[in-house]
Amino acid sequence: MPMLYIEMHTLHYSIIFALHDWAGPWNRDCGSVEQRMIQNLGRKNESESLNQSPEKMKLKQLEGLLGGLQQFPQPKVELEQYPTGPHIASRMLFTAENSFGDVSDRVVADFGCGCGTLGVAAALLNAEHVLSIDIDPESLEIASLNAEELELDIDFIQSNILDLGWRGPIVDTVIMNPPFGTRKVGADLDFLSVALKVASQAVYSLHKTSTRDHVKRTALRDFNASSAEAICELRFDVPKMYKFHKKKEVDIAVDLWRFVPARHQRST
Amino acid sequence: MRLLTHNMLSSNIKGVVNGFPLRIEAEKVAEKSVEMNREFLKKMFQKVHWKAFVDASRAMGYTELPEKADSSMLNSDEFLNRFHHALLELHLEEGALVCPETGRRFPVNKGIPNMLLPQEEVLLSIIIC
Repeated sequence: MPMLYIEMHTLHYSIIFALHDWAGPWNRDCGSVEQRMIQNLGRKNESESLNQSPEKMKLKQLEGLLGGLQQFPQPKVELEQYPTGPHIASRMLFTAENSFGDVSDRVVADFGCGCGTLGVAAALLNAEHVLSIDIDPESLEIASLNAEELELDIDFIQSNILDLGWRGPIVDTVIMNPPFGTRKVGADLDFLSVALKVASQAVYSLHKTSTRDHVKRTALRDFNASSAEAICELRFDVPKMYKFHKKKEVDIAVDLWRFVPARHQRST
Repeated sequence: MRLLTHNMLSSNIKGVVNGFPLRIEAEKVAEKSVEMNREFLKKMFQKVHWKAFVDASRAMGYTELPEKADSSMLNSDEFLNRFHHALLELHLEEGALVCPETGRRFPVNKGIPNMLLPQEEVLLSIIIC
């Protein structure tokens, strides 16, 4: 897969996103982490968007609209509910659309949608059909209000991602900000396993940078992905959200990944 | 919930061999018009399970789809309009999705199907099936 827009400078995003135990045992893997794929998506895309036709949404517009969405009033720690901020969500979907063509006219599913930010972003970028799934009814209520507010048609389903039954290769793209597995080890990879079965084109996901090698190996070897690329590294500013957060604010490095599922035939 | 979503969902009860298609019990159906995208419809025509789709549209009170369809029909605007309407403009707002094997009802409220199964029900269903 071609790496687009490679520019070698570290990207520091300020994102409202929290993670517990970020400096825990995972960080011992850091020595082997490849640092070569860090690129500045934001700036490149912003300058590109100036040349686009007027009806196509610009990054700043997208980020602005996502900034108006309602977020978790009372996050549930057991579900690792941390909001995907407008900054990261807009860049994630903007990249999926403008670098890879994985959003407009596509069927997009948002796994563990929370308050619906990623699915809303996909709908704003002209996904033909968006299906957002979460286990938590309160999140879904907020998410559907968020979609209604922006007059977007999004389908919602209440389900555990790991339990849902699927038929046929209808979903093109899965987007997700999975639980990072801080409370329940491996939760993010459980999500990834299902996403790679459901998507026929691509999966976009966020995983802790400290787990980069592990994520890549698992996706290629165990989940049959045909490619797994960390597109960029993002730095999250973590505000103190939960009681167990000891410091007021910390940084956590997160990778934006693009996975391509293996071509497969599913029964119809 | 649109019928496109219905066409890709199956019953998630463990032990069920063929959980597709879920039968629709419609109490309230809404219509929301959206712009037609011909290329998208042509692509979806290849992927949609037609019989399940037609049955679902009838359960929603829409009877304009032909029992059988082939890709030559995609040249007809009339057919495309009907396909588009049933696939993307009809929304199941209130009712239920029913597992074809076990009869288990998944309620749909405010357009959102609740596909959650309590853990003990998952185990029980293994015994039943």
